[in-house]
Amino acid sequence: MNKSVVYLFVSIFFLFTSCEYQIGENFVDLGKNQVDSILKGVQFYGFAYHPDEKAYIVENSGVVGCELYVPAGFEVERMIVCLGEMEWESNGTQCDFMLDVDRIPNGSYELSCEVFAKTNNGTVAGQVGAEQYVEKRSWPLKINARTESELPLQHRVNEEGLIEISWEIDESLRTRFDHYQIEFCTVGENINATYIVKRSEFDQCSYVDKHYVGEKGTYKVYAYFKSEADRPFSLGSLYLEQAEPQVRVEYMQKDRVYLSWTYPYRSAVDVVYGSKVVAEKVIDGMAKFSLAGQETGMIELCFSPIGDWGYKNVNYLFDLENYPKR
Amino acid sequence: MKKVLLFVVLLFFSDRFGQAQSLTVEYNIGHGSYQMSDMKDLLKNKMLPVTNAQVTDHFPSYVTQDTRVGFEWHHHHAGVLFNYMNTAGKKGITDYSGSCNYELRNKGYKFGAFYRFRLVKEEISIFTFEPYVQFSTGVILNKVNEVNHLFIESDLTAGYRKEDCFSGKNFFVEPAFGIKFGLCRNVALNVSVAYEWDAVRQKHQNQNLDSPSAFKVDWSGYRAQAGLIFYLNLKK
Repeated sequence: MNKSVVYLFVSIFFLFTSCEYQIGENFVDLGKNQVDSILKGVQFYGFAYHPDEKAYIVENSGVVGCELYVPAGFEVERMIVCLGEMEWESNGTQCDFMLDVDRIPNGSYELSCEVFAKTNNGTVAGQVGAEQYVEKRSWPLKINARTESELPLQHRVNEEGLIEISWEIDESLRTRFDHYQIEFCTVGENINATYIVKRSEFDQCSYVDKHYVGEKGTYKVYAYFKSEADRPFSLGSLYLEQAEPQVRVEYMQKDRVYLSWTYPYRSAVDVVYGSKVVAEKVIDGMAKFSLAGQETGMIELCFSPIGDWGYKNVNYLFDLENYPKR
Repeated sequence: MKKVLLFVVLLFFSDRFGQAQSLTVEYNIGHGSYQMSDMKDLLKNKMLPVTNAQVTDHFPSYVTQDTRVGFEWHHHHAGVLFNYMNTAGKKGITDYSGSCNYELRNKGYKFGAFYRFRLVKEEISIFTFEPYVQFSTGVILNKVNEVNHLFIESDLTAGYRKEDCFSGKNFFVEPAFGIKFGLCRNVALNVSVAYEWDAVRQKHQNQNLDSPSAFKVDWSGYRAQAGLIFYLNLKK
């Protein structure tokens, strides 16, 4: 056979086998998210972080919330919060759970949050669930729950004009005892404040508060124990209303006023008349000042603990008009 | 019955062979469009595990290749043909993390017979100009390869590749109009346009008989081709 014809048919054969339709590609150029961490921040609501203890402290049962903050381009699929053997799970960036301190002994635990995230830019791996970023963070947490009681605390004003509170404790607790914690919580118009005092002597079942000058608030005393697992319990509480002074006004010549008062607690008093301090740090319960040049009849007595100058705890306001001239 | 028909065809061609002036061997290359309506619906409705997949190939028209062997005498030209067509469809998406694709690749092997009737033969200088009408018929052996593929760059075990194969037959008819330009005694240039109609389309079955497919492959469409015809003269 002619060589040309052979070459022709061989060429045709190759044409047959090579003329295949070339399929296209739908390539989408998605930028790959490069981040060091998929957790920008974790916020817990329901208990506070104590920097001095370097741990979260939980004292009462309640609802706790955990909220995650992730970088842009990521989506949280699942989060798991663990505390001891307890676990709570959520599909999203928030997880709310009930923390019952009666179910957990007091002590130190590890609070952890594990996050499973994916990118939300529509990648193939992300859509089939094969692209997963996992990160876990943990913090120390202490359960310091206390047992409350309805017992009242005994109190009196001692000879020095200072409040003295006292309580009772069972002798059988001596070996386990660590310290008393005395707390005073004031409830003001704009602020709530608590200060705490600790006493480690078991037999000292009373406390004289030099800082108290009659403000409205509540005393609470707790017994704490050496073992973290022993739950502290309340030895009593005492609610006090704001003390009011007994004020007497005498008018003198040339518009001068003689003011005297009695007050149950030892204190230093600033007398304010017409937004001006007319008498400062008075400790003997009397003051004289002039009314000249002032329109207002309101006088304010600001009671402070002696020794804590400038820290005014109790303010008593009264109208001079209510006290007729004598 | 089939044997009887085959005998009759062979008898006809042997008779023609006795009268034939030339044996022709022909090769044409051309371009064809394809209906593929069932296959386009199958591709469009295919559910993939990703939501942003796009159809990139929609069974477009593509190259066809055609060979014919026949006998020519007087105004008549008849013989057998073999034709190859292929096209494909694809739906998917690829990005840096992987790819998810669904592909259907169709191949059609046509076997049949043709008959041409030369309308006129004009001589222009050393060339001849021979317009003709043509009718072809036969069977198309369809082969469809289905590939369902998921690839994840970071986790090779999460991906998969499923392949399946479907086959079936169509019966076609193809009227055409063409022109032969005789270049010399033994070679002519052939140009033709035609329309193929798949009169009978078989419902395709995959090899897994438990889940048969429900589509037909429709190669119907326009054909345009050009090629060379080689003549081997039988009579001196």
